[in-house]
Amino acid sequence: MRLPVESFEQFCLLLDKDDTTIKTILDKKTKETIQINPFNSAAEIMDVDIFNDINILFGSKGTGKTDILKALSKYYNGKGFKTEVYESNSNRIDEVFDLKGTQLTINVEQYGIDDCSTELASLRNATEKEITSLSKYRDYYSVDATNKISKNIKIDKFTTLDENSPKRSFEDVKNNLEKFQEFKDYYTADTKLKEIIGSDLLGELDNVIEWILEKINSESGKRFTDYKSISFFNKLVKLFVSEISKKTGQPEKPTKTGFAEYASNRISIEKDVNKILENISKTIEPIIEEVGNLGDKGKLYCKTTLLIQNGKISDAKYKHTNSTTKIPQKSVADKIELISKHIYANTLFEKIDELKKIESSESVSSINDLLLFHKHFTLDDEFYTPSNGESSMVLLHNELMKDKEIYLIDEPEKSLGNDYISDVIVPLIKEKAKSGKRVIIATHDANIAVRTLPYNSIYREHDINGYYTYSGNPFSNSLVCSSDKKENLDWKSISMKTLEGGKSAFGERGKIYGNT
Amino acid sequence: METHNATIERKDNSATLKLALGEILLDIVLTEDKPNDVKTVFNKLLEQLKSGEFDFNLSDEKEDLYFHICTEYITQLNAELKSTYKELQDNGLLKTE
Repeated sequence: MRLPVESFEQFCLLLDKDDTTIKTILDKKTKETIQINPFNSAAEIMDVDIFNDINILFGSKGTGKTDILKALSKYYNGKGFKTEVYESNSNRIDEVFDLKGTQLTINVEQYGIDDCSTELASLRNATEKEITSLSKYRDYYSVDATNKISKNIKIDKFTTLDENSPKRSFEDVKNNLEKFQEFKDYYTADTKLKEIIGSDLLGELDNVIEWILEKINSESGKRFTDYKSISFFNKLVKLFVSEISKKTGQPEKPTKTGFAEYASNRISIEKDVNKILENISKTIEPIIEEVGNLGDKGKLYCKTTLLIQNGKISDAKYKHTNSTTKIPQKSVADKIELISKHIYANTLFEKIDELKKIESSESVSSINDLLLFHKHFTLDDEFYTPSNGESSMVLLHNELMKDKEIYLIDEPEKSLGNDYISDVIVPLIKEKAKSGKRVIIATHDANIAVRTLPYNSIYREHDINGYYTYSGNPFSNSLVCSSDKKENLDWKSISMKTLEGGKSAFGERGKIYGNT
Repeated sequence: METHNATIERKDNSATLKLALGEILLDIVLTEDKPNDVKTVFNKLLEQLKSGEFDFNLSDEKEDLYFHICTEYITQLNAELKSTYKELQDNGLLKTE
């Protein structure tokens, strides 16, 4: 029963379409009278009753039903609800699931891939380290030292020591110290954590961490001293070499061949390139969203395949995620691969220059800029393009499955078969109504407008004098005009005329069906 | 750690420091400035260093200008090879068998 009938007497009165009984029963349902101005005209401001149930808007094409829905949406949004008019359009499925990826924002770091922005910047800024020329050795050893004092000085004869290794060693322990300090700051500042684990346990943890920090601090101090001692020693050697040269006029003694710095530069480039290539080669699991059920065919999914351009991907169906303009992803990735093969060749910096010279190569500043996507629908894990009907079916079903207070639906029947409307959509709409949701539907479909037995039918009519709005319901079988200009209409005959093609067409169909 | 041989080849107007890394022979011309050639040698040394630590021992008996240059050069190069090997090791760039 669509109406909550309380007694047999009431049921009998209902059968007789007794106005008072119908009004009594309908009044039990929550309703709101809303004033809207869908046509932005003072002459057409209208009051509509919206029940927490099914409300049907019907009438011929071009009578402003969509505008009424939009005005209702505006009204509800103004009240703080979040509504929008669902407009059935088969082409929308691509937009709804954003197949063009205009809203796609992906950061590779969420997939455990380093974006390598630092490494890419370092690679672009890398420059060759110069080495000590052999002539400096020749010059130094070709001139005899004549200055007595300088002959006695020994410090300039020392070979400089390896400074990089103690520096790295100090930085390692410094990083450890920072991490433990950050951890300590974290648990000290987190009051909720203290509540969860208790002050005793937290105190124990703090003691251990303090102990560790003390040890790391002490080690850090030792390593800093080692590093700085070597650094000062090297500076001292260089200073003496330079000063002796200045005072005696003798050429400066070279203190290093330049190999260590030259190698260190290449090692750093190799590290950067390796890290970039390692991250480029990583794979990302496709993102799969369920689109809807296509009945016997199975479930329709939307699959986003993500690839990182490695210089070898030429498949045109893969687009880049971060830009609509053409960026030289393939050339950049290809060049980085090439650089990796020239790390220990004299041509390394030629290749790095070639990378910099690629037009717009600066637009690739991280691995995110190398990301490619292909978003498409799948059925049984195979590429699939849903038909117009399937698209409408899935979208409408999804709309009705959303947990909302207010559903505003414009012509849900578009591109849908009657069997789907009867078997799936009508029961779903009834279910929403039963749970007190406001369902407002503009429709030309008799299955929806009649078989849902709406609490409220709003009929829009147009004649030579203008537009008219009526409201009523199937229970009273009447439609009352909102202005006094028009007589009341018979709900049944108007529904039959507007939705079924008229009484004669309805009867004719009945005869045909009856004869089969 | 392997120690490889370094020698000096003297000709009329030129001298070359010859580094023998097993089969690989590397030349550093002492009498001309050819930075690109030296860089090529450095590249080879760096590549070889990835396979294992090594240094050079200068074998030469003539105490002339080239001997002094090469003695100093090899001393410095050995120190730098040692620190570079450590750097390769620290960065996980050594070749693993």
